[in-house]
Amino acid sequence: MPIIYLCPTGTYASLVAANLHLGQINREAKINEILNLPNFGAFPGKVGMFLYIGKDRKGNLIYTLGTSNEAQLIIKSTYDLLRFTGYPENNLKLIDVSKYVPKHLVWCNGIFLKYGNKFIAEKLHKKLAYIDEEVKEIRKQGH
Amino acid sequence: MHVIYHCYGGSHSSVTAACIHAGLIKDNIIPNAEKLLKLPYYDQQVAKDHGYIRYIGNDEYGNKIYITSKHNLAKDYETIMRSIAGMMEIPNDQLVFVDTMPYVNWLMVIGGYLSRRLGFTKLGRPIVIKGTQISFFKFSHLVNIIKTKYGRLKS
Repeated sequence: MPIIYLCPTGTYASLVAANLHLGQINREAKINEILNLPNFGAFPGKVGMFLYIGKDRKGNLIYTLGTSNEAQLIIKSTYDLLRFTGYPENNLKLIDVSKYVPKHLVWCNGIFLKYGNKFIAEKLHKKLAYIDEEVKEIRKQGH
Repeated sequence: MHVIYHCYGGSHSSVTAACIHAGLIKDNIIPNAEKLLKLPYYDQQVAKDHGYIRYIGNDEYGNKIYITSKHNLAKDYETIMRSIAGMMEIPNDQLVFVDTMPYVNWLMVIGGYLSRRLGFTKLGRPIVIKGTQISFFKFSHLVNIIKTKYGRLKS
């Protein structure tokens, strides 16, 4: 089953969450480990791009997706799309982790690019335990 | 086939176009305020409703007509939805996304903002209705293109 983590760019909070899900980093990860994640802060301005991160132990395909600040809107639309096309809703999981990336930091990244990434990595590092808890819940749900 | 008309808030332009397509209003007569306000979801949806895909009706070719809102996602909305559809093995040729934003005039923007965003319905509604009436034949033209492409030519 595809599990898609959503954040404004698909390369910050969602990328960290996806890597926590796959066990490629843990809640004790250092800021540098976050900064060195493949594609961290890459593709600025590319909203709507999916990144395949890997497959978990249960065979779920883990993706990230950049949705600008409209993650909740995309979640509603997606489940409605599945409903009216007759596809089972529980065969797809969308998780919004946008709240771990303050909106203004993403804008900062657009302006300061290099330093913006470090700034966001520091913010995510502080929230790592919370993101990990959320990811654990997803894994616990038995998908 | 599923035809989804989308605009910023899913309250005016997409509703008007979808209702013309589904035959709830005639495409050659500009509707008066009363008729527009009777259309499903016309000047009704607020922020918490945004994103839901609402069913409006069927056209004469059996296509199902829907409306939705996409905020500022613009073309990214369709890209994202088509990618998700592809991921779930939903045939993409069964989905038609129609953007009604290019036909939205400034009266619709101002009226819609006043009525839906700020809640000044009494002030915004007459403005957005006037705007809809001005652009009505543009919506009608758009619907006819869609109907020709996905209805008449396929039947």
